[in-house]
Amino acid sequence: MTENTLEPKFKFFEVEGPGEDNVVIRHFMTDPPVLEDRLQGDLKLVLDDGIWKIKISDSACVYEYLSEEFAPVPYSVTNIFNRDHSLADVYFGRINAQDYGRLSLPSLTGLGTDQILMSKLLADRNGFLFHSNGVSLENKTVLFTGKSGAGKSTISGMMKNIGGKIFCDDRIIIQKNGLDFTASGSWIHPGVTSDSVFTGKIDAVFFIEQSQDNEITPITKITRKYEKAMKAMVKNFLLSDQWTSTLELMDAFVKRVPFYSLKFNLTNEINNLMAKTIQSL
Amino acid sequence: MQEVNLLSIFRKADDLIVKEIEDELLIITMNDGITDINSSIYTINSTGKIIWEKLNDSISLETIIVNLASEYDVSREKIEKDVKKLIRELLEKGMILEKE
Repeated sequence: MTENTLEPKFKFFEVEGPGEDNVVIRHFMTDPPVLEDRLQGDLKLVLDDGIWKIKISDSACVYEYLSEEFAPVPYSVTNIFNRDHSLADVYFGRINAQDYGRLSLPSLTGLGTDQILMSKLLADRNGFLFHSNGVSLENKTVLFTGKSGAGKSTISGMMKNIGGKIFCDDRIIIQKNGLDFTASGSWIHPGVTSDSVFTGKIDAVFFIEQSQDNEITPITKITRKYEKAMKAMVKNFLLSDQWTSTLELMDAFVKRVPFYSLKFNLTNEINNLMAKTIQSL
Repeated sequence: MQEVNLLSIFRKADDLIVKEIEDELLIITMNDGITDINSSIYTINSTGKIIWEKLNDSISLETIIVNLASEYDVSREKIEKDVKKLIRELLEKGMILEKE
Protein backbone atom coordinates (compact mmCIF):
# COMPACT_ATOMS: atom_id res chain seq x y z
CA MET A 1 0.00 0.00 0.00
CA THR A 2 1.31 3.47 -0.86
CA GLU A 3 0.24 7.02 -0.01
CA ASN A 4 -1.89 6.92 -3.15
CA THR A 5 -3.63 3.59 -2.68
CA LEU A 6 -6.36 5.31 -0.66
CA GLU A 7 -7.87 8.74 -1.25
CA PRO A 8 -6.27 11.47 0.89
CA LYS A 9 -9.53 11.91 2.85
CA PHE A 10 -8.63 8.90 4.99
CA LYS A 11 -5.81 10.88 6.60
CA PHE A 12 -8.44 12.82 8.56
CA PHE A 13 -9.63 9.62 10.22
CA GLU A 14 -6.29 8.01 11.05
CA VAL A 15 -5.86 6.87 14.65
CA GLU A 16 -2.89 5.69 16.69
CA GLY A 17 -3.87 2.03 16.75
CA PRO A 18 -6.71 -0.44 17.19
CA GLY A 19 -9.56 0.55 19.50
CA GLU A 20 -12.04 -1.62 21.38
CA ASP A 21 -14.32 -2.47 18.47
CA ASN A 22 -12.31 -3.29 15.35
CA VAL A 23 -12.90 -4.43 11.79
CA VAL A 24 -10.01 -6.16 10.03
CA ILE A 25 -9.81 -5.61 6.25
CA ARG A 26 -7.07 -7.51 4.40
CA HIS A 27 -6.18 -6.66 0.80
CA PHE A 28 -4.91 -9.34 -1.63
CA MET A 29 -3.81 -8.92 -5.21
CA THR A 30 -5.02 -12.28 -6.38
CA ASP A 31 -8.20 -13.69 -7.75
CA PRO A 32 -10.67 -14.72 -5.04
CA PRO A 33 -10.78 -18.37 -3.99
CA VAL A 34 -13.51 -20.58 -5.36
CA LEU A 35 -16.30 -19.38 -3.13
CA GLU A 36 -18.16 -22.65 -2.80
CA ASP A 37 -15.02 -24.23 -1.33
CA ARG A 38 -14.73 -21.57 1.32
CA LEU A 39 -18.28 -20.70 2.30
CA GLN A 40 -20.79 -22.76 4.18
CA GLY A 41 -24.32 -23.00 2.82
CA ASP A 42 -25.77 -21.74 -0.40
CA LEU A 43 -24.89 -18.33 -1.72
CA LYS A 44 -27.98 -16.23 -2.37
CA LEU A 45 -27.69 -13.49 -4.99
CA VAL A 46 -29.40 -10.35 -3.63
CA LEU A 47 -28.19 -7.79 -6.17
CA ASP A 48 -26.75 -7.84 -9.68
CA ASP A 49 -26.86 -4.48 -11.46
CA GLY A 50 -23.91 -4.82 -13.82
CA ILE A 51 -21.53 -3.01 -11.47
CA TRP A 52 -22.35 -4.72 -8.18
CA LYS A 53 -23.03 -8.31 -7.26
CA ILE A 54 -23.98 -9.10 -3.69
CA LYS A 55 -24.29 -12.67 -2.46
CA ILE A 56 -25.05 -13.84 1.05
CA SER A 57 -24.67 -17.25 2.66
CA ASP A 58 -25.06 -18.53 6.20
CA SER A 59 -21.43 -17.71 6.97
CA ALA A 60 -20.49 -14.80 4.76
CA CYS A 61 -21.43 -11.80 2.66
CA VAL A 62 -19.70 -11.47 -0.72
CA TYR A 63 -19.55 -8.16 -2.58
CA GLU A 64 -18.24 -8.12 -6.13
CA TYR A 65 -17.60 -4.79 -7.78
CA LEU A 66 -16.36 -3.58 -11.14
CA SER A 67 -14.88 -0.13 -10.83
CA GLU A 68 -15.06 1.24 -14.35
CA GLU A 69 -16.10 4.76 -13.45
CA PHE A 70 -14.55 5.61 -10.10
CA ALA A 71 -10.91 4.59 -10.18
CA PRO A 72 -8.03 5.96 -12.26
CA VAL A 73 -7.16 2.31 -12.93
CA PRO A 74 -10.14 0.05 -13.65
CA TYR A 75 -10.14 -2.99 -11.41
CA SER A 76 -12.44 -5.67 -10.15
CA VAL A 77 -12.75 -6.42 -6.48
CA THR A 78 -14.32 -9.18 -4.43
CA ASN A 79 -14.97 -8.73 -0.71
CA ILE A 80 -15.61 -11.76 1.43
CA PHE A 81 -16.91 -10.65 4.82
CA ASN A 82 -17.77 -12.87 7.72
CA ARG A 83 -21.39 -12.61 8.75
CA ASP A 84 -20.92 -9.90 11.41
CA HIS A 85 -18.60 -7.93 9.09
CA SER A 86 -15.71 -7.83 11.56
CA LEU A 87 -13.32 -9.48 9.08
CA ALA A 88 -12.99 -8.98 5.33
CA ASP A 89 -10.70 -10.40 2.72
CA VAL A 90 -10.57 -8.07 -0.26
CA TYR A 91 -9.31 -9.54 -3.56
CA PHE A 92 -8.24 -7.11 -6.28
CA GLY A 93 -8.27 -8.45 -9.81
CA ARG A 94 -7.02 -7.07 -13.15
CA ILE A 95 -4.26 -4.93 -11.57
CA ASN A 96 -0.59 -5.23 -10.68
CA ALA A 97 1.27 -3.94 -7.63
CA GLN A 98 2.16 -0.64 -9.34
CA ASP A 99 -1.46 0.03 -10.22
CA TYR A 100 -2.58 -0.89 -6.70
CA GLY A 101 -0.22 1.79 -5.41
CA ARG A 102 -2.06 4.52 -7.33
CA LEU A 103 -5.68 3.38 -7.13
CA SER A 104 -6.79 6.30 -4.92
CA LEU A 105 -9.53 4.11 -3.50
CA PRO A 106 -12.64 5.93 -2.25
CA SER A 107 -13.24 3.15 0.26
CA LEU A 108 -11.35 0.77 2.52
CA THR A 109 -13.14 -2.15 0.93
CA GLY A 110 -12.24 -1.18 -2.64
CA LEU A 111 -15.96 -0.80 -3.38
CA GLY A 112 -17.41 2.47 -4.70
CA THR A 113 -18.26 3.35 -1.11
CA ASP A 114 -18.04 1.75 2.32
CA GLN A 115 -21.69 2.44 2.99
CA ILE A 116 -22.80 -1.19 2.82
CA LEU A 117 -20.15 -2.14 5.37
CA MET A 118 -21.09 0.81 7.55
CA SER A 119 -24.81 0.02 7.40
CA LYS A 120 -24.18 -3.54 8.47
CA LEU A 121 -21.90 -2.52 11.33
CA LEU A 122 -24.27 0.17 12.56
CA ALA A 123 -27.28 -2.16 12.52
CA ASP A 124 -25.55 -4.22 15.21
CA ARG A 125 -24.38 -1.16 17.14
CA ASN A 126 -27.50 0.93 17.80
CA GLY A 127 -27.06 2.99 14.68
CA PHE A 128 -27.97 3.67 11.09
CA LEU A 129 -26.95 5.87 8.18
CA PHE A 130 -29.09 8.90 7.46
CA HIS A 131 -29.17 10.69 4.12
CA SER A 132 -28.74 14.29 5.20
CA ASN A 133 -26.43 17.22 5.64
CA GLY A 134 -25.08 17.88 9.11
CA VAL A 135 -24.25 21.31 10.47
CA SER A 136 -22.83 22.34 13.82
CA LEU A 137 -24.04 25.85 14.65
CA GLU A 138 -23.87 27.71 17.96
CA ASN A 139 -22.99 24.47 19.81
CA LYS A 140 -26.05 22.76 18.36
CA THR A 141 -26.01 19.87 15.91
CA VAL A 142 -28.74 19.94 13.29
CA LEU A 143 -29.45 17.78 10.25
CA PHE A 144 -31.07 18.82 6.98
CA THR A 145 -32.75 16.21 4.87
CA GLY A 146 -35.24 16.12 2.04
CA LYS A 147 -35.85 14.82 -1.43
CA SER A 148 -33.07 14.94 -3.98
CA GLY A 149 -32.84 18.53 -5.21
CA ALA A 150 -34.73 19.92 -2.22
CA GLY A 151 -31.79 22.13 -1.38
CA LYS A 152 -29.81 20.34 1.35
CA SER A 153 -26.54 21.78 0.10
CA THR A 154 -28.10 25.21 -0.39
CA ILE A 155 -29.49 25.47 3.13
CA SER A 156 -26.36 24.07 4.76
CA GLY A 157 -24.30 26.53 2.69
CA MET A 158 -26.50 29.33 4.05
CA MET A 159 -25.86 28.05 7.58
CA LYS A 160 -22.13 28.03 6.87
CA ASN A 161 -22.36 31.68 5.89
CA ILE A 162 -23.66 32.53 9.36
CA GLY A 163 -20.96 30.57 11.18
CA GLY A 164 -22.09 26.96 10.88
CA LYS A 165 -19.65 24.12 10.28
CA ILE A 166 -20.73 21.49 7.75
CA PHE A 167 -19.50 18.12 9.00
CA CYS A 168 -21.31 15.96 6.46
CA ASP A 169 -22.97 16.60 3.13
CA ASP A 170 -24.46 13.23 2.37
CA ARG A 171 -24.56 10.20 4.68
CA ILE A 172 -24.45 10.80 8.40
CA ILE A 173 -23.77 8.15 11.02
CA ILE A 174 -26.48 8.23 13.68
CA GLN A 175 -26.07 6.28 16.91
CA LYS A 176 -28.01 6.04 20.14
CA ASN A 177 -25.95 7.13 23.08
CA GLY A 178 -27.87 6.77 26.33
CA LEU A 179 -31.20 8.44 25.71
CA ASP A 180 -29.74 10.81 23.12
CA PHE A 181 -28.69 10.35 19.52
CA THR A 182 -25.40 11.49 18.07
CA ALA A 183 -24.49 12.40 14.50
CA SER A 184 -21.01 11.77 13.13
CA GLY A 185 -19.30 12.60 9.88
CA SER A 186 -17.52 9.86 7.94
CA TRP A 187 -15.52 9.11 4.79
CA ILE A 188 -18.30 7.34 2.91
CA HIS A 189 -19.20 10.19 0.59
CA PRO A 190 -17.45 12.85 -1.50
CA GLY A 191 -16.66 16.26 -0.05
CA VAL A 192 -14.86 15.00 3.07
CA THR A 193 -12.84 17.64 4.93
CA SER A 194 -11.19 17.94 8.34
CA ASP A 195 -14.60 19.17 9.58
CA SER A 196 -15.97 15.69 8.85
CA VAL A 197 -14.24 14.32 11.93
CA PHE A 198 -17.05 15.38 14.22
CA THR A 199 -19.60 13.86 16.59
CA GLY A 200 -22.36 15.83 18.30
CA LYS A 201 -25.67 15.23 20.05
CA ILE A 202 -28.48 15.78 17.55
CA ASP A 203 -30.63 18.74 18.55
CA ALA A 204 -33.03 18.77 15.60
CA VAL A 205 -33.73 17.36 12.16
CA PHE A 206 -35.12 19.66 9.47
CA PHE A 207 -37.06 18.24 6.53
CA ILE A 208 -36.58 20.85 3.86
CA GLU A 209 -38.26 22.00 0.71
CA GLN A 210 -37.70 25.09 -1.35
CA SER A 211 -40.67 27.39 -1.40
CA GLN A 212 -41.67 30.98 -2.05
CA ASP A 213 -42.00 31.41 1.70
CA ASN A 214 -39.79 30.94 4.72
CA GLU A 215 -41.37 28.85 7.43
CA ILE A 216 -40.27 26.47 10.17
CA THR A 217 -42.96 24.35 11.82
CA PRO A 218 -42.58 21.44 14.25
CA ILE A 219 -43.57 17.96 13.11
CA THR A 220 -45.09 16.31 16.15
CA LYS A 221 -47.16 13.37 14.93
CA ILE A 222 -45.05 10.27 15.56
CA THR A 223 -46.30 8.41 12.48
CA ARG A 224 -45.30 11.31 10.22
CA LYS A 225 -41.91 11.59 11.89
CA TYR A 226 -41.37 7.86 11.46
CA GLU A 227 -42.39 7.93 7.81
CA LYS A 228 -40.07 10.83 7.07
CA ALA A 229 -37.16 9.33 8.99
CA MET A 230 -37.55 5.99 7.23
CA LYS A 231 -37.36 7.71 3.85
CA ALA A 232 -34.07 9.36 4.80
CA MET A 233 -32.52 6.26 6.35
CA VAL A 234 -30.01 4.49 4.08
CA LYS A 235 -31.25 0.92 3.70
CA ASN A 236 -28.77 -1.76 2.69
CA PHE A 237 -29.59 -5.46 2.63
CA LEU A 238 -30.37 -5.78 6.31
CA LEU A 239 -31.27 -9.13 7.83
CA SER A 240 -34.57 -9.73 9.63
CA ASP A 241 -33.13 -9.35 13.12
CA GLN A 242 -31.24 -6.21 12.08
CA TRP A 243 -34.49 -4.71 10.75
CA THR A 244 -36.27 -5.50 13.99
CA SER A 245 -33.62 -3.72 16.07
CA THR A 246 -33.34 -0.85 13.58
CA LEU A 247 -37.09 -0.20 13.69
CA GLU A 248 -36.98 -0.12 17.50
CA LEU A 249 -34.09 2.31 17.28
CA MET A 250 -36.01 4.48 14.83
CA ASP A 251 -38.92 4.46 17.27
CA ALA A 252 -36.67 5.90 19.98
CA PHE A 253 -35.12 8.36 17.51
CA VAL A 254 -38.41 9.92 16.40
CA LYS A 255 -39.64 10.17 19.98
CA ARG A 256 -36.44 11.77 21.26
CA VAL A 257 -35.33 14.17 18.52
CA PRO A 258 -37.36 17.25 17.47
CA PHE A 259 -38.32 17.27 13.79
CA TYR A 260 -39.23 20.39 11.84
CA SER A 261 -40.61 21.14 8.41
CA LEU A 262 -38.46 23.89 6.90
CA LYS A 263 -39.59 25.84 3.84
CA PHE A 264 -37.20 28.39 2.47
CA ASN A 265 -36.48 30.61 -0.49
CA LEU A 266 -33.12 31.89 -1.54
CA THR A 267 -33.32 35.14 0.37
CA ASN A 268 -31.54 35.12 3.70
CA GLU A 269 -34.77 35.48 5.71
CA ILE A 270 -34.55 31.85 6.76
CA ASN A 271 -31.40 32.67 8.72
CA ASN A 272 -33.39 34.66 11.31
CA LEU A 273 -35.93 31.88 11.66
CA MET A 274 -33.16 29.32 12.02
CA ALA A 275 -31.42 31.44 14.64
CA LYS A 276 -34.63 31.63 16.69
CA THR A 277 -35.31 27.92 16.33
CA ILE A 278 -31.78 26.94 17.28
CA GLN A 279 -31.90 29.19 20.35
CA SER A 280 -35.08 27.42 21.41
CA LEU A 281 -33.54 23.92 21.25
CA MET B 1 -56.62 -2.20 -12.53
CA GLN B 2 -56.58 -5.68 -11.04
CA GLU B 3 -60.07 -7.03 -10.23
CA VAL B 4 -60.44 -8.18 -6.64
CA ASN B 5 -62.80 -11.12 -6.12
CA LEU B 6 -64.60 -10.68 -2.80
CA LEU B 7 -64.95 -14.44 -2.42
CA SER B 8 -61.17 -14.86 -2.47
CA ILE B 9 -59.19 -15.67 0.65
CA PHE B 10 -55.82 -13.99 1.12
CA ARG B 11 -52.99 -14.80 3.46
CA LYS B 12 -50.13 -12.62 4.60
CA ALA B 13 -46.75 -13.38 3.03
CA ASP B 14 -44.35 -15.34 5.23
CA ASP B 15 -41.30 -13.11 5.08
CA LEU B 16 -42.51 -9.78 6.46
CA ILE B 17 -41.34 -7.39 9.16
CA VAL B 18 -44.37 -5.61 10.65
CA LYS B 19 -43.93 -2.67 13.00
CA GLU B 20 -46.84 -0.94 14.72
CA ILE B 21 -46.41 2.82 14.95
CA GLU B 22 -49.28 4.25 16.96
CA ASP B 23 -52.38 3.69 14.81
CA GLU B 24 -50.45 2.79 11.65
CA LEU B 25 -48.38 -0.14 10.43
CA LEU B 26 -45.06 -0.25 8.65
CA ILE B 27 -44.47 -3.42 6.64
CA ILE B 28 -41.21 -4.51 5.02
CA THR B 29 -40.99 -7.45 2.64
CA MET B 30 -37.99 -9.69 3.05
CA ASN B 31 -36.53 -12.29 0.73
CA ASP B 32 -35.18 -15.32 2.58
CA GLY B 33 -34.58 -13.15 5.64
CA ILE B 34 -32.81 -10.35 3.77
CA THR B 35 -34.02 -7.07 2.32
CA ASP B 36 -32.85 -7.12 -1.26
CA ILE B 37 -33.30 -4.95 -4.33
CA ASN B 38 -36.91 -6.11 -4.71
CA SER B 39 -37.94 -5.41 -1.13
CA SER B 40 -40.69 -2.91 -0.34
CA ILE B 41 -41.33 -0.68 2.64
CA TYR B 42 -44.98 0.26 2.95
CA THR B 43 -46.98 2.26 5.48
CA ILE B 44 -50.61 1.35 6.13
CA ASN B 45 -52.88 4.01 7.65
CA SER B 46 -55.28 3.46 10.52
CA THR B 47 -58.10 2.24 8.25
CA GLY B 48 -55.75 -0.12 6.45
CA LYS B 49 -54.43 -1.39 9.77
CA ILE B 50 -57.94 -2.46 10.82
CA ILE B 51 -58.36 -4.35 7.55
CA TRP B 52 -54.87 -5.88 7.81
CA GLU B 53 -55.66 -7.21 11.27
CA LYS B 54 -58.79 -8.90 9.91
CA LEU B 55 -56.90 -10.68 7.16
CA ASN B 56 -56.28 -14.32 7.90
CA ASP B 57 -56.09 -17.39 5.78
CA SER B 58 -59.52 -18.74 6.56
CA ILE B 59 -62.05 -16.02 5.79
CA SER B 60 -62.98 -14.34 2.53
CA LEU B 61 -62.91 -10.63 1.83
CA GLU B 62 -66.71 -10.70 1.76
CA THR B 63 -66.76 -11.97 5.35
CA ILE B 64 -64.26 -9.32 6.39
CA ILE B 65 -66.39 -6.59 4.83
CA VAL B 66 -69.55 -7.86 6.53
CA ASN B 67 -67.74 -8.03 9.87
CA LEU B 68 -66.33 -4.52 9.50
CA ALA B 69 -69.74 -3.14 8.49
CA SER B 70 -71.23 -4.57 11.67
CA GLU B 71 -68.43 -3.18 13.86
CA TYR B 72 -68.10 0.33 12.45
CA ASP B 73 -70.61 2.99 11.53
CA VAL B 74 -69.43 3.12 7.91
CA SER B 75 -71.33 2.18 4.76
CA ARG B 76 -70.74 -1.21 3.15
CA GLU B 77 -69.81 0.58 -0.10
CA LYS B 78 -67.10 2.63 1.59
CA ILE B 79 -65.67 -0.42 3.38
CA GLU B 80 -65.67 -2.48 0.18
CA LYS B 81 -63.88 0.30 -1.68
CA ASP B 82 -61.21 0.62 1.05
CA VAL B 83 -60.73 -3.15 1.27
CA LYS B 84 -60.33 -3.55 -2.50
CA LYS B 85 -57.88 -0.65 -2.70
CA LEU B 86 -55.72 -2.03 0.11
CA ILE B 87 -55.80 -5.59 -1.26
CA ARG B 88 -54.62 -4.35 -4.67
CA GLU B 89 -51.74 -2.46 -3.09
CA LEU B 90 -50.72 -5.34 -0.84
CA LEU B 91 -50.84 -7.80 -3.75
CA GLU B 92 -48.73 -5.48 -5.88
CA LYS B 93 -46.08 -5.27 -3.15
CA GLY B 94 -46.12 -9.02 -2.49
CA MET B 95 -47.32 -8.59 1.08
CA ILE B 96 -50.31 -10.92 0.69
CA LEU B 97 -50.99 -13.95 -1.46
CA GLU B 98 -54.29 -15.32 -2.71
CA LYS B 99 -55.01 -18.67 -1.18
CA GLU B 100 -55.52 -21.41 -3.78
